[in-house]
Amino acid sequence: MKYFFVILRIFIGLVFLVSGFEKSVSPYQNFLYALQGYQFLPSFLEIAVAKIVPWIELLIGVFLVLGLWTRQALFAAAVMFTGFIIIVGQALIRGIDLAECGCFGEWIHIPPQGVIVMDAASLIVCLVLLKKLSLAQTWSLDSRLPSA
Amino acid sequence: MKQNKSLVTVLVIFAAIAVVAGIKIVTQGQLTQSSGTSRTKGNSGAPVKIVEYIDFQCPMCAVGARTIKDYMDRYPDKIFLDMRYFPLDMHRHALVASQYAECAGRQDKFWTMHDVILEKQKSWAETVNASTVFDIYAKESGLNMGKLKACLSDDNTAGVIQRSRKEGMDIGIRSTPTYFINGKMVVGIKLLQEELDHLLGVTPKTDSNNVQ
Repeated sequence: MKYFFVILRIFIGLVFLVSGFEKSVSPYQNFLYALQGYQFLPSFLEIAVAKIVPWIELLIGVFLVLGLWTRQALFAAAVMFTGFIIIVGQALIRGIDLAECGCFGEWIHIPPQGVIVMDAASLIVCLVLLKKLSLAQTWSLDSRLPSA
Repeated sequence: MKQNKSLVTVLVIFAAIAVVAGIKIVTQGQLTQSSGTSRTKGNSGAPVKIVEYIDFQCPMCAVGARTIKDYMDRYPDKIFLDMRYFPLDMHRHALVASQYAECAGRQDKFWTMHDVILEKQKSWAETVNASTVFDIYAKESGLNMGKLKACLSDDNTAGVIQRSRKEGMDIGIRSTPTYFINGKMVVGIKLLQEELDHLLGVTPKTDSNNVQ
């Protein structure tokens, strides 16, 4: 059973890793364009978010895959998924026409309706992993490098 | 142990940043200089130089074309436009539309074809065979149809478009319309307007006039 939780942790980590990596290696303007489509943030925040969020996603992904600071990384992932649900949800409620979510840059195209379901499911997984933290930390750097 | 964990954490962060930065440096191409092709328009000595990567089936590209035309009408000597192709795979007629525009350009009618294809985008975007519609536009534009057909079947035509697309991919373009305004990358109409307003010293329009 513990391997199931490890696989879930690594899976969530890979989701962040792929998403953050694609956006980090591309010019930030591509993600900025996707972000502007949601009509949610003021202009100055859009630019800051477009530059910073891909790196946060990348680091959350790396930390979850390696199992380093697992509790904190899972908490950050849960916060991110909650944010994604709010941003995509408000766009759907306002009837903003979005062809796709922009979550994975140009590698994977998911319509907003699909991504909100995926984000909600991923949020639940994060919460379950936080509840079963000791099992999620199997095969992790945390288990080899315990904090004092 | 805690010191070890902090050290590992710092190493992991630096490694992740180094990998991404390295990949960016290795894979990032350079925007080539504007050359005197039939796909350029305006004063070549203008202070504002725009390189546009276009997908003819992209709705926002049609909006962008109207926006740039508006600025070029208001500031005829201040803007130079260099159009390049970036047909997206998700748009089934984008490649053939680019081919018609390129072939029209070889008869010095690039901008005529460019304008009509974008103005009437909604009328061909959902058709099964867009070529028949483009043929009509070509005849109306006064193109030599024999030369046009020969050009369309020439592998070199598709090659020009694919090279343009590859160059776009290499410099990080992922969506359209993407512009390079005096070398600065700008994606979408909102930022296009903001950048042009800034460079031309225009007082920004009200929100109701801006297009997302």
